[in-house]
Amino acid sequence: MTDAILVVGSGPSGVHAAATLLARGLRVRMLDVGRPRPDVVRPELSLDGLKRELPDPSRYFLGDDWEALVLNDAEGEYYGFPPSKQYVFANPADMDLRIDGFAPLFSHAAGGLAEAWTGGTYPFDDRDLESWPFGWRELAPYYGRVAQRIGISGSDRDDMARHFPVHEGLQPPLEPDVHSARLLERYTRARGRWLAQGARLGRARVATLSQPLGHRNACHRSGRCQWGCPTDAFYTPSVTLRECLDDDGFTYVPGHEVTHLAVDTAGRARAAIARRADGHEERFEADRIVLAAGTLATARIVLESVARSGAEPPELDGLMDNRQVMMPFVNLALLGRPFEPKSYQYHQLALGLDRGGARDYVHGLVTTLTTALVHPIVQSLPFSMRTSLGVFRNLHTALGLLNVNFADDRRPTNRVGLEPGADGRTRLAICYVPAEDEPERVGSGLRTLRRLLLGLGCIAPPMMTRERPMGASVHYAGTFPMVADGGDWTTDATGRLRGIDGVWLADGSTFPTLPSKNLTFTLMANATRIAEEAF
Amino acid sequence: MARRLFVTGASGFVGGHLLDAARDGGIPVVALARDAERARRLHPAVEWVEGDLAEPARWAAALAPGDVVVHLAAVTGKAPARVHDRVNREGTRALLAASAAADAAHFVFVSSVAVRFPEQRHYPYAHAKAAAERLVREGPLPWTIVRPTLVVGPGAPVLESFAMLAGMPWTPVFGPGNALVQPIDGRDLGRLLLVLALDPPASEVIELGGPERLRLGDWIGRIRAVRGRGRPRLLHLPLAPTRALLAAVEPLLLRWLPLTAGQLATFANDGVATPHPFAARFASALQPLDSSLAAPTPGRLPPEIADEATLTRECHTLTRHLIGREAPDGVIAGYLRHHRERPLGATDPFEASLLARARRGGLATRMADAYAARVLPRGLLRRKLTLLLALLETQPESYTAIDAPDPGGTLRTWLGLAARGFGEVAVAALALPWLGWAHWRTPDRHTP
Repeated sequence: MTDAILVVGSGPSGVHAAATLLARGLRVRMLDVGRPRPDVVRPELSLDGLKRELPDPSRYFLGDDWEALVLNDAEGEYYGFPPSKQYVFANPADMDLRIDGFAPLFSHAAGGLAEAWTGGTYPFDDRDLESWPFGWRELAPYYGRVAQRIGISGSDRDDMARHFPVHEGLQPPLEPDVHSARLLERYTRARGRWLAQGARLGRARVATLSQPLGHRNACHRSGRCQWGCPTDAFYTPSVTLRECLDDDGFTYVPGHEVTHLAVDTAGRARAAIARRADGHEERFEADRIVLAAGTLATARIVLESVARSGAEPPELDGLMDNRQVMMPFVNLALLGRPFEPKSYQYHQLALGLDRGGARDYVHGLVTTLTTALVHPIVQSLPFSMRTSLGVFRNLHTALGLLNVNFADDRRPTNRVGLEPGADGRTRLAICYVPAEDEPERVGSGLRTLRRLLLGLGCIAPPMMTRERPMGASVHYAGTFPMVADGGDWTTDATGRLRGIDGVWLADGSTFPTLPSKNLTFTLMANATRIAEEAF
Repeated sequence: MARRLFVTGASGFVGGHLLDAARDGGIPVVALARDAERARRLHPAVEWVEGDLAEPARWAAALAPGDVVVHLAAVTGKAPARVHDRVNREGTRALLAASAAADAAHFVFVSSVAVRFPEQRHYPYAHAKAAAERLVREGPLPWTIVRPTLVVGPGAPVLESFAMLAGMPWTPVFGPGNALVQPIDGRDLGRLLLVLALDPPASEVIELGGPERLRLGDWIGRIRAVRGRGRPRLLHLPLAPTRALLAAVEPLLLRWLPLTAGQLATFANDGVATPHPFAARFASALQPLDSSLAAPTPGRLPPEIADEATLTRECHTLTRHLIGREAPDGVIAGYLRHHRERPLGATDPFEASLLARARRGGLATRMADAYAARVLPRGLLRRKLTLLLALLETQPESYTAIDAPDPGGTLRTWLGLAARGFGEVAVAALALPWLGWAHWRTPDRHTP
């Protein structure tokens, strides 16, 4: 089976590279840790149905071990991942890292971190791709192919379509909930003021079916999105992984974590070395290896491969991630309105703030908070718990959350390296320093957005706005940038790694810049492009 | 034979670390506490003697010839000058006299770098400590005086005060914020105190600081960084007028002030340790600063012990308080399961009493809730209410009570919100003085 192309990792990049290679009739062997998703509990029930029908709903929602219970002494970043998604982030206990200014997440789940994504599928336009070795025209067909594979709904003609070029396979947008519909209505009145500020509001592009696709049905608004879509109307990479498994040319080898590649003296990768949970190492021969383990894991594999071959591993620079700011707001017109549990839970609206250059475009996602657990929010209000609950009940429908994303670029200060760790092993060292002008860029962006929201009748109290730590947005990229003419530890336009022959990178590692639009759709499209052009 | 330690202030933050170090070193300890039973639950291996420094008759007999006395007990924070004098100066005088009478071998006095701050206005703590140092130096026993800098480490009271400042959207910094600090971890201080106590008496003052010296502004930034917050935005306030203002209102409002005029001395003086060969010996073994700034593990006090009948009653009372009806069976089952699997501990000695009030129902519960929201927002009662809310929102009989708005239109909603606001203010106005007084009188609330 050495003619098979070896793909490492089953995240969005890995499965779309694999699916494309299989469609071309090539054989694929995928190495993956691949922790499986637990069975969906009672898929026929709605969210409230779960509360009514499960024998102990508290156990389902809060966890057997109270994982999703947030008591007032909790520290650190609150991700709000429910117990049913804990498997996505459960890491082996012996993972050794040194981090400075960066709080990374890793995943060993089948489907990768995107198993817990929120579905934003935003194509990069020519301006976003400014410093890339190709533009929208070259990438557009691959966006279209991915869209047909995964199912994307959204508008192709509202104001935001200007920022999201239209590709093939776009389904009509989901029906908006009351809150989103109201915001759009107010926007049509405030539109002049928004446009004057370079700002627009429109329907979100999301990987959620508004129409059936293949065996998958359209979204029926169970309200269970955050706990894991019970019907796969909401796309995650494990859907594509399952489709690959139906192909005879596909061999899936889960339970194996690739630690490094065996590189011969001529500098060519000959095999991937993977470790099983029991510590046993196995060697997988291949002359074409596609690394799609995710930016940080891929960096680790490459660096470890260099170290094992006896050379000094390089220190990679240019690590990127989107700075994310959470801006909760209250829509005054909806105070005291009853609350609709049967609705789509992730963002239904997107917002763009255009300040000229690619790096200055600010991308926002508007989520109307509905079925998230309320106890983490109520305890953060500045009153007694009784009053906080009374206030919250009347605020619930009126609450919204604007998730603001800022672009990033490659800078020499942001490094990923390998250093000696515990027990004679190595560990990954990650260091991130925000851009010098970031406070100014973020501050002025937020002030403008707050004013614009006010124009829609929404108040975003500044003290509730929270900047998330770097690493929290999980949009890691940039360690092996695609450049036309680069030295070692860069990639060419087909993702081919310079420095070790026979290796292609198909994940975020190769992004030369990181626009503010969620990168996952482009990960999939770019992996599809690489799988089409490289082999 | 190993020396025996006689420790005062052992139930405080530094004292706890000293006891840990003594336990690890196999050094026998007799310790003085005002509430020996509570202290015993934290450190069961220690021989505890109950009593107040001011009442030597109750504890003097526990001193033995050859003991090393480590005197940590002190009022450090918000207290009027006369309390500082009574506890910090007169308490030291009483302990010195009793130690000398018992023929103790060595008197280790834990003071503070604040003693030599050039700028000590409105700082009764520094005055009283300086007076106590003189008593020790001129006293009858061989002595060592230790002056720590700012004491930090998970759960350190001073650190939590700074963390509270650092956690604000705008962090108030009094004056230019250029004063230096050199925070030392309580764990290091405990170990170093043990070494000094077992060494021959130094007959000198040894100042102990941590591994890094930094400006106050940077110090606040470090706390924010370690606790996962962004860069601080500093709000510079004039130092001298703030101190004068605080000094003027302190006699009336002490309990509710987040800090005192005296504590502002930190902003006016460099709080760094004078280098000393003893400190240099251990410099490389100190905790890195970032590890000292982590948030406290809650429940440093032992978990409460409550039977299921009490917890069930408590669950009903708090449910009535939150949503105006009895707790459904599923909520009670979850409440009991959590208390079984993850017993909740208090972080402040007053919390047991606050919980007892909350269990009474009606206005008492409302007052306890309102008090906890302002004074102990991460305390035991708050955590119980949050747990209860999480259960209520996930059980079939109660989740609609968490989701549903009040009936009526927009006007009713606004009136309802206004009524809630007034109610909150009224209850808080009752609760803060009333419970604040009880909190203030709770023993051990301000040992260092």
